[in-house]
Amino acid sequence: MRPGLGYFLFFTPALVLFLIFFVIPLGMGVYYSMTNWNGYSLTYQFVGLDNYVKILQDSRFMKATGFTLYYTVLVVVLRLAIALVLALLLNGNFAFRSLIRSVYFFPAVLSMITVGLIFNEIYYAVVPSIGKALGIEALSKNILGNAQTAIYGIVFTNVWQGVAVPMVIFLAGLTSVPKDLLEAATIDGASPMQRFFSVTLPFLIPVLMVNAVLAIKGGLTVFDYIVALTDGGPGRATESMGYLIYRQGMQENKFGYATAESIYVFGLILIISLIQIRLLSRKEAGQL
Amino acid sequence: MMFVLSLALLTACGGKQETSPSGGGSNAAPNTKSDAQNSSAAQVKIEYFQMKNEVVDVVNRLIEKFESEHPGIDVEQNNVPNPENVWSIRLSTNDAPDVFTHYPHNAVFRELVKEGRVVDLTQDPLLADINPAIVDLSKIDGNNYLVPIALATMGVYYNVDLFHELHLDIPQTYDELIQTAEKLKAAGYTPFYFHDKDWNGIRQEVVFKMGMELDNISEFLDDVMNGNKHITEHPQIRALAERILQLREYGQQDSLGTGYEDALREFANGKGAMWFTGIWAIPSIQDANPNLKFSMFPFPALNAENTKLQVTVDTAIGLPAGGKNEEAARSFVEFMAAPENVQVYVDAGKYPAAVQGVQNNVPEMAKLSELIDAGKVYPTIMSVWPPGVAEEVGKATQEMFAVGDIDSYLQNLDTIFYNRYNQ
Repeated sequence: MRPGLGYFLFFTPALVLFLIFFVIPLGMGVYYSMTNWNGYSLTYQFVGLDNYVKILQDSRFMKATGFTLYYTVLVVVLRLAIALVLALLLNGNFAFRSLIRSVYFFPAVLSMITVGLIFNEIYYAVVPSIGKALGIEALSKNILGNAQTAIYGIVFTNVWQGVAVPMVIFLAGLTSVPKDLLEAATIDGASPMQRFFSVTLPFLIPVLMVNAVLAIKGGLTVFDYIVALTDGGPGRATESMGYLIYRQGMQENKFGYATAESIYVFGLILIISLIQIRLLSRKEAGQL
Repeated sequence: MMFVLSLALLTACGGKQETSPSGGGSNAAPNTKSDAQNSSAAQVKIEYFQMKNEVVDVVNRLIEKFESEHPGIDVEQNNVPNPENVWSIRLSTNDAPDVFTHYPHNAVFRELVKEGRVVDLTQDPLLADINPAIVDLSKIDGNNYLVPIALATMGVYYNVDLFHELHLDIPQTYDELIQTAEKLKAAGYTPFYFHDKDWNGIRQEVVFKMGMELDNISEFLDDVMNGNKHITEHPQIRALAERILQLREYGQQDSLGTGYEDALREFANGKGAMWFTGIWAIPSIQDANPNLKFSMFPFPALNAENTKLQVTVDTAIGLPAGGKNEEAARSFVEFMAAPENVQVYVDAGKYPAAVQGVQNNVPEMAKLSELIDAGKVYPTIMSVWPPGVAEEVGKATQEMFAVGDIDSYLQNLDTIFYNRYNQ
């Protein structure tokens, strides 16, 4: 009995904090999602599942969901591919190795809003000058001002900053690839491509999964870049789910409705995470 | 040890959240207070929650003056990012600031007034010195809840040297404005700069022009929002939309890619001859290029005699219902609304004043001030719009600029307004 009590005393503070700052607010959120509270009034009504039904018919929410999913696919693919290539290039022995590695890592230490403001300037002043000089029609105007191209401006900004952390994780993963296996493959006459796909990549699967989880989370919850770059515009072309929840909850005074939307997003992320955990554990089991 | 620490943390948090009028239950709050209080026993401390970042310094100077005149009262200025949200959240958690600034046209403020959360100041002596036209304009359902101090309006900034060089006069009608733009274009200049990347700037322009150019627009939009009429039934609205779009022909190449800060910088560097935005840009343009000679003229209506200014109350002070220190708070409002202090305030912030006996010392605003003094002003039409409508109007207009389709624009406006009150 005694050791049990000791354990209990040790984890109670964490449990209490977790309950008060996480579980209880989450429960309150679920409750507010079933009200028509505007975010400031003293009175509101319980409306049951009305908000949830309305959201399913809300074209703005559906558009934001579509935007967010497309955005996530682009960001995840580009971030992982570029980070992996960079990690492979930076893995060798060459002059100024640590300096060049730090240069590639540097974007990660900037805040997202700062990066957004810098790129705002680049898209406004720099890219159009280059586009005009080269005669490329699509780049001769601010790509953030066009509903068709604005998303790519945001994706590029996100990827520019977002490859740094996965690159470092890949670099760490590369140290786990046994040198003797690579040497054996070379002796057996394997080409560099064959060595990468047959030896290096299988050892990188666990870090690839970690990176995928981080990148998907970053894509599905994108908010800062949108605020800094387009504010959801032009028109409603770049409203992500996170941005929409903020707008409706904090600016348009539909707090209950926005909370219900966030519960949907919670569900979506839950499903994607479950699939990922499944895949991850299966791959790791196969690995061992 | 950890347990005790975390418990202490929890009680401290709990105490802070419940700053109820009857006094906090935890013993942490009185402790911190007594430190500040040991000089004089009767010291009253009030918080001035003001929403304008650019006047923090001048407000501090005014507070110093107030405190030297009222030794028993300590005023603490509070200026936070996103102040309107913070204010509503603090009211909803019963933590209203003792004195605050707000905007009588703000939808959330009007809602909270209807819930009785703000002191009714109708016929109050605090309003004695305020310009009667402005007192009228800041009424909510016939009553006053804020003491207006300073105003905001919009107009056309123009490059004085460029206008001299081409011998251009200030346009008095919309047609003259187009002729001026044509002359500038023919001389190889960009007549207008627009910041159409920001929906908020577009929204300001559309609301301003609707209020000036469309007859009985408030009643008409009321009918639409009640579901009795459609947007397209207004006889002048299509022509106005066409004019707003037409003006873009005289703008820079990529107006949808230009944000407010970009447009400001380009205008300050002499790239555009004219730029339509609010008086709040005056100090920023002077900062960006101290050598630029610029001034403002009112945006001309179709007929010169219809040219008016949309005036919004930009600084207005109010008191929360059931405030703890209402007496001290009142004497602070009285001080802030006194003409000699308003003069200091508007000179620093470069605003038109809402108070009688205050002079306009900003030469760039002279032509706008003439209209205000002549009473040729009108309130913003968006004060009765439900939250979110204004943004939708801005974004719909932005789409119209991208596509150039007036029909679907009017259709979109109808979707935004029609039957909105009943949704």
